[in-house]
Amino acid sequence: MRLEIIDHSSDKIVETYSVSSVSMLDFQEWEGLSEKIIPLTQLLDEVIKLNGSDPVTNEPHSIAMAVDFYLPAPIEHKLIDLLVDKRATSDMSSDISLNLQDEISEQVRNPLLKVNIILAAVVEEISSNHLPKDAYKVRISE
Amino acid sequence: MIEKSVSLDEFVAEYQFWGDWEVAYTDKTHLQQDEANEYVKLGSISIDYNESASQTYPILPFTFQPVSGEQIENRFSELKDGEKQAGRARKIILDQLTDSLLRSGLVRPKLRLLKDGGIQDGFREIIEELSKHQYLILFVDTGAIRRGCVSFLHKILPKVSIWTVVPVFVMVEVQRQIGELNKIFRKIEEKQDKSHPGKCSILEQRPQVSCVSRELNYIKQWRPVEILTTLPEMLGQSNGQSKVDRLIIESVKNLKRDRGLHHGVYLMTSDKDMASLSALENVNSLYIGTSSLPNEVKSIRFDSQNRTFILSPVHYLLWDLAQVFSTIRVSNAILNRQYELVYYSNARDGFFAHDIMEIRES
Repeated sequence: MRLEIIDHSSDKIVETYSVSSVSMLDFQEWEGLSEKIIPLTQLLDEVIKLNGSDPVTNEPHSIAMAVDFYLPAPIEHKLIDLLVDKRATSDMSSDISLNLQDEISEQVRNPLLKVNIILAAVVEEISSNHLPKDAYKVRISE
Repeated sequence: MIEKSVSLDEFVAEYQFWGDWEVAYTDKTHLQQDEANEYVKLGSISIDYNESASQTYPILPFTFQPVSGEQIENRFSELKDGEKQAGRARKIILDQLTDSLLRSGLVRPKLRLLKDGGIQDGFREIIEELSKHQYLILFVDTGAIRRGCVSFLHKILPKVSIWTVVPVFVMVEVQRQIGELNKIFRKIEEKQDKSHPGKCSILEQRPQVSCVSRELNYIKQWRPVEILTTLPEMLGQSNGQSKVDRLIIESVKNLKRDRGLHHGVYLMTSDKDMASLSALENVNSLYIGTSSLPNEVKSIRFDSQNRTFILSPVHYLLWDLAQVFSTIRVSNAILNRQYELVYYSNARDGFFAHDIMEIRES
């Protein structure tokens, strides 16, 4: 998904944000739309209302994606070792133990996130970055 | 009841949270402690995932809804002798919640850069400006460390080497606060039958010790921190805030002159006046402010500078709240699970103590 910030007065694109992990198709409210233009003043309210449900199961749509954790750096480094120790058993072979380490690293570094939360985080950042809000609109497209 | 002492990494690894939780605090310095301790609600945490997701993905996003000012006042009015301090408690608790959200990475600080006679308020412009330096020498005051802003800059400026310089006056001030807290705790121990031995203003003092120590402790483990000593006769002058401000500004000037540093040196402070004063004296400064407490905050932020998502674990917020509020109760009525997180029951150990918390599970 692409969010282009457009200056109201000149109609020029001032910045583009790409969120490859989220698609317009993830939101039932935007079904059939190729693009959506929303004034920046209303963007956050509109995005918060989106439900982001999976069209087949109707469950909230989540994806596992890479993030950076807000934790003191030394803690982050120790965390994966602790989680591996917790799940490892004493009779595990070294190969299985290495696989387990990779698997747990992958799960920790790629937590499960709901698509509407991801989009709301981007939109919050856009709202804080581009002021005054009434000077801009946002074009959302694939 | 199971009691356990854990470090932060152990807390994240061993305790999984999902569903809806209420967070409340009690503190023997100003709330009644008997069989049914007085608790004051701090907010609600909602983690919209199930147990199986929490087993596979140990860190999940959450939403935090802080308590409202009105709810705090009402709760204090219900407590024995609490009505008198209800208004003050409202302000202090809301301020402390805002600082906790800032330290846990749930909200970003408000920055103001005062540099070369100019003032910049735009967050992105300031971060862009700071990222031009290969290194930053940050001269920090107590407020800047307390708000966890060195850690914040480390996270948002990963390619810039940050050297933190702590003037010895800051350490002296924290030592003084440790002494005061110890005195308060001694009084409580001596008069154990008194229900309300103190005032809630201790909630402002405690993070000056616990959160400052934690921040310095963690930065020290992986990045350089220098405690800048000064002449003993100047230490004797450190009574009174304006004199401390003056000494800190003079220390920055001395450091620049003695080491021939011309770029990348900033005084980082949470005091607006001090930031302006230092700018007038040609010392570049970075003011660290906070926004008002949001009604609801999500634990995932987008960092447009680095084009990454930053996720704050719920454990880190709880850890911080326990450091500020002494004892917090985290309960989930549906799961019938309750934890008591006890961090700072005494001003023991002082600087660079092991960052350990006691968890009581019932």
